[in-house]
Amino acid sequence: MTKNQILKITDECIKCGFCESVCPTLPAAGYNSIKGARGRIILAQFAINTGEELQISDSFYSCLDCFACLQVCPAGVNAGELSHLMKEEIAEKHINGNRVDIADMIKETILRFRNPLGLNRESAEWASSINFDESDTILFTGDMYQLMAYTKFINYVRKYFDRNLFNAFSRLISRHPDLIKLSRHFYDINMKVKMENNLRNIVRLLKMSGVKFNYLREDEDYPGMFLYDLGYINEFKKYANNVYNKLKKLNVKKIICIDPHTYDLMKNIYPEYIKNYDIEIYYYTDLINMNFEKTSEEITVQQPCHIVLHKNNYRALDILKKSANVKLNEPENLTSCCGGPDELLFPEIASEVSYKRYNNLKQTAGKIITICPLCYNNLSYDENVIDFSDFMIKLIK
Amino acid sequence: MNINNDILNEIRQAAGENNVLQNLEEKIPYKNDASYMPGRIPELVIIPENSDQISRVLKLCTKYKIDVTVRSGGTSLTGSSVTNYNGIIINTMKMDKILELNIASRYVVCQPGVRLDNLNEYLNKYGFFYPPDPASSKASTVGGTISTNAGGLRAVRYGATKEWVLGTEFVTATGEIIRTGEYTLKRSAGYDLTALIIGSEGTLGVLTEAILKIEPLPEKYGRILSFYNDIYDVGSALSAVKNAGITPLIAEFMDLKTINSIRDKLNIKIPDYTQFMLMVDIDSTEASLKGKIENVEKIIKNYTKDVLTIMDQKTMDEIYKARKGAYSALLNQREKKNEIVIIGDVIVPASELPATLKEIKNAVDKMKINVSLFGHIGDGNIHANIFAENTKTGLEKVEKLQMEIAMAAIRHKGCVSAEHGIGTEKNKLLYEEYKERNSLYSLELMKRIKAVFDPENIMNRGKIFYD
Repeated sequence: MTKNQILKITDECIKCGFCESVCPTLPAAGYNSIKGARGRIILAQFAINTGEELQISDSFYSCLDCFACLQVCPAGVNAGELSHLMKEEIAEKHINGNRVDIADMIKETILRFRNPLGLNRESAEWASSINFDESDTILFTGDMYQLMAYTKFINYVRKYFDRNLFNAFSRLISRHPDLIKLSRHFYDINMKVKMENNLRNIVRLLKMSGVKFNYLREDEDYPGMFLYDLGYINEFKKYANNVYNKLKKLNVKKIICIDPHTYDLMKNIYPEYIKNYDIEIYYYTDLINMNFEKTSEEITVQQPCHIVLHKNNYRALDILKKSANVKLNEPENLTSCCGGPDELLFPEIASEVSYKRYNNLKQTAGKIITICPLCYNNLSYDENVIDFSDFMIKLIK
Repeated sequence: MNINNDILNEIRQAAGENNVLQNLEEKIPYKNDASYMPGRIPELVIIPENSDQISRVLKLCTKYKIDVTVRSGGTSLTGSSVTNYNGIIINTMKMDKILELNIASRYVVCQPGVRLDNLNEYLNKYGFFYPPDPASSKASTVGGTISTNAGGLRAVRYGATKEWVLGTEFVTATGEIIRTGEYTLKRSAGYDLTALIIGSEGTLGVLTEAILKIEPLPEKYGRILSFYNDIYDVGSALSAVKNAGITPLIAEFMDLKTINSIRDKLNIKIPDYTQFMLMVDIDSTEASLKGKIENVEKIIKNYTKDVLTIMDQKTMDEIYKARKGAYSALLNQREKKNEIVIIGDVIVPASELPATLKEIKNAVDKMKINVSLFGHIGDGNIHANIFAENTKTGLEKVEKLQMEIAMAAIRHKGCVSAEHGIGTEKNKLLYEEYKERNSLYSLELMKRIKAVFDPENIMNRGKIFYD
């Protein structure tokens, strides 16, 4: 079935190469075509049609899932979706000869701990002094803000590791998932402080907007994004249903997401895998209803791919436009990826993409506002990169 | 020649260790370009960073008689950028820098991997642009468009790429790094080697740098759309505009099938009777544009009652983008899933257009092949897009129709390729063109020139020349 879906996509492609011109991973990978959108399509077509045993996982796992390719393809071919389907084929071992040790490790730890690093308690620490409301609406962090400090540290260390060694380390953790909990000792302290402050900023903005909501603290499950993104669809389906059933048991009716990845997953992907899905999903910026000071500052905005290019609506840009002089790098309905999704598996590509994007944004305006913790983590090369919540909190009247 | 380990090591050393792809998986994407011509998986792919590396690699390739194909954006529609033999592909995409802009002298210096839209995005900031504008400009590159002498929508006013290249840095097949032309608008200095390189499709060597002319952006322009049920009236309307001494910025036509493929993106009301649409851009100074547009409207209204003028930049941009995506969008008009759409490309003098179109239509009707027509009517360039089953029989029918269309173009003083190059798709058609003109010796001369640049015949073998 998946193979048919893949061939349907590849057969519609005429290899015009438009997608390559916007695919952020192609130049970041030194124009090695298997890490570009068109190369992925040709490779998938070849692999499926010939059945040859090929080492192709790097090609599809390096896709940032940003959907930039789809925006320029005149034939409407979605190379991002193709990468996703190929990851599914690889993860389900339908294509021989490919191992993705880091992905396997992440899968094992999520299934074991309901958190990629087994840091359920640490993920809730930021809210220890905050009282939440009794409400059937919950703030759902998806652990994204919290995990950034740890991934930043891991990637810092990874630069000094040989890839084979890191793979061996991943296999070890896959066999002994408890070892991942050691990561609680290794994080970037500045990022941790910044991210926890941003979480508190978000809560404050929502409370000041009159929104009543609860937070599940340690009981909040990681939503399973990595399982989905890395192609473990069978596992994801089961896992997502468990997350959903737990939320239903807790009588949750509405969810406020605070990062674009969790939002897109719970709003658009969960309903595909969960029968009678009836929880309402909101993005926190859409619920902000208050007055802010105006500033004459010129800012630019790193709009999140998972909202803008995946065709989700959100209000963050409108709020920013009312408060500051916004200069965008591209039309409002377009954006360019920060490189974040490649951070764990391909840190070199992530770094190339993010630095290029940072420089483009920096040429546009003095301050860069991010609306996604992943974007912030990847683009914060200097103090002029600011999370939306941090920027707005300072403009409260 | 097969590349053994010793040669491989030499090539790796010459190209730089990190610039060589040798794993099968990494080479597979290079078996395709934007054409339907089948390519082979190359033995190696080299992605060099500079001309010295290219020079060293080419010296080895000449020494060991290794076939070389040059590629950048991989947008060729005639198979120029895939290899037909065991050999290497040199991909110049890492050489993607804009090196110098000189507004006073009206030139920009670029490496071959710069994409045309990126170049124009850069130039637009300074109020300038580089006129060649193929529909693939988002992906096509300076190197690729020079090697095929690409044209595009603006050719009616500005001509094809050959009008815009002042000079080059070029590495011959033997590894000599040469300079052709220079930075000046005029030059009277022996044979024009720059002109020889333009359109040579990688058969002589590798382009590594280009000095390109630039133009100030038009002060203001507007777009006039008009609708017809007879192709003859389209040609007549445009001829009348040109006879009035007006050269449009662009002059495009498209048939109903093409209109349907991009109808949702055009977002305009199209009269029910429409079989063809003409799209004409008129530029002028801010003060006089309105009058000029009204004048053109009046001329066109002699041939159709429905004329729509658009002055809003955003709408014009959307329509332009839709027109540039027309070829790919035609995929949605396929009747069967295994059909492919093959884009034809012939040109005749503008005055021969109505008669040529009629002959093409007769050939299409006779062969009962599904075809859509669009093109740069202002310069006589017709793209007949053929819907064909991707089978031996289907492709044989395409070949036959391509020949009929080519012969029609030749009969009307035209050429078998306007802007896509020859590649492997059209080498037989090119042969027929020279045969019809009783000038096969021209092809012989080309082969002799190639032998001077490429004595071992390693560069893009099988392209241009029909053996």
